[in-house]
Amino acid sequence: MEVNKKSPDRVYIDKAINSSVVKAIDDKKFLALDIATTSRMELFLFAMTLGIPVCKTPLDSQESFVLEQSIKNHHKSLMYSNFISNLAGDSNLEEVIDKEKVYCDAQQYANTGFQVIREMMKNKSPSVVELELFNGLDEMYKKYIG
Amino acid sequence: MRIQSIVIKNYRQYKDLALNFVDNGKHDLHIIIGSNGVGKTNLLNATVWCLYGDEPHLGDKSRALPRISLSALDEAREKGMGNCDVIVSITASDGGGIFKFERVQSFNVSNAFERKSKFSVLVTDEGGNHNYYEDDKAKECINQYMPERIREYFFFDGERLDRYFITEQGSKIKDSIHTISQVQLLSTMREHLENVINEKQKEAGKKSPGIANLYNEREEITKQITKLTEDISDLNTQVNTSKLAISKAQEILHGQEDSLEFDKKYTILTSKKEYLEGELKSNKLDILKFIRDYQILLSFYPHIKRTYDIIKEKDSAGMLPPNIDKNFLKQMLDEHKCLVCNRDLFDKEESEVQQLIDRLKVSSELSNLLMSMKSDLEMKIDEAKRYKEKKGKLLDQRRRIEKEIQEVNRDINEIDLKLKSYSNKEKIANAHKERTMHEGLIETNNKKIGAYEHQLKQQNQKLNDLNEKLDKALSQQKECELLKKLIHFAKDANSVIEEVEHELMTEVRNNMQRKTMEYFDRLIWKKNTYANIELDEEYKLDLIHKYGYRCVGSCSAAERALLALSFTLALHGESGFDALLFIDTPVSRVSDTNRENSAVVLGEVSKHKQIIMTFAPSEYSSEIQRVLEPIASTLVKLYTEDERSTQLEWEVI
Repeated sequence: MEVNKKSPDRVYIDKAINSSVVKAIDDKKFLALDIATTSRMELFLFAMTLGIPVCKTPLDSQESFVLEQSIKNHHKSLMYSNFISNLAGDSNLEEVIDKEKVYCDAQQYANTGFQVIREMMKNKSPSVVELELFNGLDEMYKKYIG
Repeated sequence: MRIQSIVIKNYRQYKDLALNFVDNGKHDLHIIIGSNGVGKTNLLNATVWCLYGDEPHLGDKSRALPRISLSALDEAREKGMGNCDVIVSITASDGGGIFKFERVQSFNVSNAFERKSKFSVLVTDEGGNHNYYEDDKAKECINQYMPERIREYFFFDGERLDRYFITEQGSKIKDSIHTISQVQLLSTMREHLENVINEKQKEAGKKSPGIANLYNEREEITKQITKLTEDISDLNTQVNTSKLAISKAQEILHGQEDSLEFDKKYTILTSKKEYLEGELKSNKLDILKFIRDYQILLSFYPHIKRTYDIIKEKDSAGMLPPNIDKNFLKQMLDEHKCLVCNRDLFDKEESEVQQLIDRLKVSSELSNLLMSMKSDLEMKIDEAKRYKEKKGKLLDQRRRIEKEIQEVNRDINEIDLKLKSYSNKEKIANAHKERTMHEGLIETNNKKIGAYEHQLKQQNQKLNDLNEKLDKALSQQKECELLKKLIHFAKDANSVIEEVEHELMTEVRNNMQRKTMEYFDRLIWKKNTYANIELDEEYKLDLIHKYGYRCVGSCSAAERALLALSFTLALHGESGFDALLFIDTPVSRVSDTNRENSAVVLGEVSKHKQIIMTFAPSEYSSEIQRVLEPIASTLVKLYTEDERSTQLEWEVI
């Protein structure tokens, strides 16, 4: 996947999120999403999945989270597919070329997702979260594939 | 000989004690009861010390308190005395004679240094005449009635009885039988004749250089034979020491040996548990990774699928063209020029370019982007479909590990419970190590013994050959004729003495064997286990199982103690020494029926022999009390008030 030279060279997250939620994830090794176990891009995508069913939240003040070189094609394909499937119709497909839009979209979903994680960490034990996620996976599998 | 009284002054915890052993005419049986630490064994020590000058029943001589009573020493210091004496007097009788044995030892009060003890005996004969003897003469007197060489059959410690046939094998038993056979005179004669033979051979050697050489050679071989015999004896002692160590270790390990096996199993199980816990932790991480991966995969799934379908649809419709730059075409229309060949475009040509642009609704850039995503999206769709299979695998793995951990925990708990029942794991491990080491030593020493015995056989053969040569050489020398006759006579006489000595010893040995078995049979509750007792040519005593096995090493401590008691009683019967029997804690290692049997047998023996016994209150059980108390001549209880000085609490005569 080629990268437009003018396009963004990283993904950002909210500065406050980085210093609170991401730090807490690392400190508590929440769901093994900490930096030692999970790449930052995977954490970002994980957060996106939790934000997608809710809404997009603009970032108040952004902070670099993952540099382009660490964003692999298999990561990008997820961000792009989310963007594409949300387009009103085929006619707007060209919008996909605008990488900044795609990244911005992803960042805003991830931003919501990180807030969901913050609530999870605040209100539920890791085992409960684990169980709920497992149940959620079963439901999704049943709904989409099963 | 029986003891009438013992008077002890300043000996260990006995500052001033007098015990009288009055015979009731039926059973000359005397019971002394005292708690642990009161000084029962020291009563035995005091008696032995008075008669023989040492204390063989001390736990550890090198770390024992001074012999003198500490209270007496304090009192002497307070009074400003320079010396203080330990005195033990024993009044004994034999036939019509009265013997007052006394040992006195002086101690320096300031530093408790002991001086040489003084031993004396005052003998009063039937006619009332007194004879006083000191030191060696006094020693001779005691040896006449209770020889020092077999004193351990008169005074012994029940606690150590069970070790007797393991530690004191062979030479000591031989000594004892030698002493009770009273063949000492024959042995002395034999030694004297051997000296005569040597002297006569030396004399013959002076008359002929050839004989002198043979004699010297013979001397050399004799020295080697003596050395080899000593070495074999030393090795046998070492083997016996190892046997004792093995026996001690076996006692510790008895019923506890499994603990080592359990300990090993415990270690294996704990490492298995550790490994499984690691596996569970890793499985947990795998599950979390799975949740994370599939949370992404399944959450994005509708978007992936939709995008994939769009790409596929456009691709099928040929709407994802090769690399044609739509902007490039637009530029050509704007400039009305073919930017490839740089010529102007006609209207028709422009219309065709416009049609191409219209057809290329999807730009090349977008086309590239979508096409590059296609295979990845395809893979993600396939991967998402494998959710159930992967989840099942991970959860099965977790269940398996959890089940294994549960099983291991159960096994660990079981073993832990067993291990807790063992008092001292370290002691058991050491006993095991000790036993293995001594088993190795026995093997090594037995090999050496075998090699030395072979050498000894060869040297004896050489000695015989040399003796024959000497004989021939003596015959060839006329002037040695008389010497030769003398030597022959001495040798013949020696052989006769040796035969008589051997016959006497054999007779006593056989009687001892028989009587020991008789006593043992009465003492032991197991009537159908042991067939016989064997005292072999080497004077090793063994118990023969009814299936023919030798089993003194493997029978219980109680059985060995009873065997030693049987041997002692038999020896008393055979020895002709009508001496007393003083046993410290006689049934400490014996219980139940064996204990009752012991009491009955000792009670019977006391009809003809004085028996003094000391008991701890716990040992003086109802079985013992029921049998012995009605027949005892005296019953004494010892106590201590200040833990330093022991006195009589009560005395029943």
